[in-house]
Amino acid sequence: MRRSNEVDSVVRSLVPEVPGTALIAVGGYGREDLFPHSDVDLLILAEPAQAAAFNPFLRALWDRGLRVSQSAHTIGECLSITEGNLEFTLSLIDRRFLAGDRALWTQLDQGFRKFFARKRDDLALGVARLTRERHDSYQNTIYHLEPNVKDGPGGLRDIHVLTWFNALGHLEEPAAVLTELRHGLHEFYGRDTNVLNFEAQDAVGKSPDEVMARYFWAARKVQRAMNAWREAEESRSTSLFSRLRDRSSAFSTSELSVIHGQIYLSDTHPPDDLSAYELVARRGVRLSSEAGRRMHQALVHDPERGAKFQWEELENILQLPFAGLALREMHDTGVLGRIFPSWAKIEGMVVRDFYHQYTVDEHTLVAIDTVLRLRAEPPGLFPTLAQEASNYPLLLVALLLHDTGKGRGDESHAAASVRSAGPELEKLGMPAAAREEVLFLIGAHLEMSRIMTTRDLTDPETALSVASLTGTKERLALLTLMTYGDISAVNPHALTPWRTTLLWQLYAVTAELPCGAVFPPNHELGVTLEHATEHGGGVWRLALTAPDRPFLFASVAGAISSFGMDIVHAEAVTLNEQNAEHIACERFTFTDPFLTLKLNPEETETLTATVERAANGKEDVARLLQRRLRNPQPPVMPTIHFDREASRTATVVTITTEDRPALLYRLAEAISSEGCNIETVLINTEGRKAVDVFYVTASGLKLTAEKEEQLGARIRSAS
Amino acid sequence: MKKIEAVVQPFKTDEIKEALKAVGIDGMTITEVRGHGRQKGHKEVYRGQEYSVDLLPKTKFEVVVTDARAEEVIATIMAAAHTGKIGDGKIFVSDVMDTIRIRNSDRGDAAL
Repeated sequence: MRRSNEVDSVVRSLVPEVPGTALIAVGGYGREDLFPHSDVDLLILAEPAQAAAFNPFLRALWDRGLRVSQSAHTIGECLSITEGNLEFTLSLIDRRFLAGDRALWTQLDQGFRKFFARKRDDLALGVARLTRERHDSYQNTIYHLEPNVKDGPGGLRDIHVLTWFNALGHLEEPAAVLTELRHGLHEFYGRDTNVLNFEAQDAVGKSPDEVMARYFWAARKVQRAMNAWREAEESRSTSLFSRLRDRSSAFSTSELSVIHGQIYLSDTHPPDDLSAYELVARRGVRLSSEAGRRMHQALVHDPERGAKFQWEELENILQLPFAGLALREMHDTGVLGRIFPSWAKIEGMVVRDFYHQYTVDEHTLVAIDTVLRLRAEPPGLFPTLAQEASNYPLLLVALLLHDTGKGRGDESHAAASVRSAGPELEKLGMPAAAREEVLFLIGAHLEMSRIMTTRDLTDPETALSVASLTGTKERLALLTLMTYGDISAVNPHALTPWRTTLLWQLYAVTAELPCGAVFPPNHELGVTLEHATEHGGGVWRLALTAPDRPFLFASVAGAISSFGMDIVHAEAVTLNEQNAEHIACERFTFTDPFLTLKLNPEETETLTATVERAANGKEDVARLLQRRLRNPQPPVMPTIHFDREASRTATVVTITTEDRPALLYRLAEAISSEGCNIETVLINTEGRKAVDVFYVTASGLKLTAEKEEQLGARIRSAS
Repeated sequence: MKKIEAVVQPFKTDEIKEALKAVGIDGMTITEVRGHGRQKGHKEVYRGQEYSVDLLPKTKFEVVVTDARAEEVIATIMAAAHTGKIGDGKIFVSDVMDTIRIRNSDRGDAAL
């Protein structure tokens, strides 16, 4: 007000006298609501030819240090809504005569009054749309670590809008808080800065915590009022919304009624259970502000209220399509903090770092929204993983509590979160097995993100360590999705394609360890055989995990070939667990040229049993193969290439030759007979050409030149 | 002055950073990048279905040093980044005409 008066006198002392024109204050200046460094909005009411006469005046204002934002229009222009210039029309709502032709001013003033009355609904709808866009650019949340007190959701701009349309209600106190913060910002920075950043949070109040607590309190009230107004305006004017509104009233129950897409309480006592939130989660309708207030009051007046809620009720909500919205409503009314006291501790919590953009609670809710959205997306890598995941409610609860241990001193926050979540989940009545899953996810929630950037993803040891950490493929999927949500919610740009690819690769190498159903791979012998049809012709895939021993790979390859199968692809990795015997994981893809398995389904069991005996060293594979190899084809000389550089730990032996029955068995057998160990195998068949790559060591080291020569000779004689 | 750009495996980032610091290189720019060289994109198999990974995640280091130090820095990056496997990355070396420190207008080697 004071600054506005000062500016008034400067303006009036400099303004030229141009007959038939008037100078009008609009926008913030028109409201007499000038912050120390905000723009001075002026309207020059004049014909185009007259406007140039004001240029020296405008320059003089700039010279005085005023940031002038002026426009020159005729009355006719002021009284029409021009496409793309809604902001100008809105600025006229706060208009004030400064100087010039008073009759012209009266004409504008009265004309605009009538214009506004006539066009009120159109303008409101336009403002609702602009507001929605503005809020979207702030991700629709007030919980930014460094919020914009003017343009952000729940900011001063929202207060202006509500004032224009007489919808402000009782927001004087929140408005005063935001005004004071913006004043503080302008004085601290000496310019028109409206972002309450870390530096400013230290400077404009008693303490950063106090500043942010006041800001969140005010912005939350303003945002609620704004959302209610905006939804009411939008539902008033579109037939789509009115259809939704009519349909949603059918959702009403005896205690709850749905009107205009919002839930109202029918009874004087809010329901004792979570049914209102269940309705939110099922239908995507929100609590009316009145219902929200009463639910909150009921909680405040009854300290015992939260104790009655049970896991089944919450689980039910978490399975519904709008679970994320329901959690937000539960957060807003305080129910969430009542069910999980550790949640109450992170409400509005600011943890300063370079990456996070949101407060801890908002970060958590964004992470939950993200993994819920994945379930609705078209099939793709992560969406499909989300759609096929079982136990989604457990993932959501784990996400909800994953950061509740933040800000508790030196201990890792994952461990602190686990410690507080355990008793809370038990009290809620969550079964022990489910609890174990949730606590595992919370405790491990940082692991995949750490491993994906610090470990070699092509090293089988990396996959093995993640497999051992997670223990089951279900948990691996949930932890992957949790990591996806957690990274996404750091800030809108955190989950870059770079990170997405790394996370997927880590998931895929672990899920695709060639160990079949035995996960994580261990020392138990496990063999799985499945028929796969995705390549058209139909192939069989045999996966195996077993304690490693000499001749293992050769024996299994031989056993498969002895059934007349044609191995087209094979992978094997040896996992070296520290202080334990090595585990081999092998996967063979083969065709069945004589349709043995298709025509005699019982043969699949015989094949599996034979492979198991071979893997245990209890089958004489050479004898089994004799029948198949009775008429050996004329020998073909293979090309053999030794590479000592390609791998750090092994010699890479590449053998290219003509494919023939039991070739893989013979090559592997030859390598093992030479006392060499097969670390990794990649087998491919292209037409009749077989390209077989073996990573081979002898006594744990790369091969010597002498050993290479001996091995070469043996391979040649074997093939 | 030479600019040394190294495109390396992401999991080597910390190792290389520490190795550079150990030889007294404190100023560096590290970027998360995606691309492919001879390693190309490749097909990976997930549940029997192939999907292509055409741009592979890498980390790019950029360091500008005096001519005298260039070989030492290259050797340091080589030693830390090498695994012997496909995809280890590449180092590019180029001449830099000048360096200017914006704060005080230092130029040339003095600005490094």
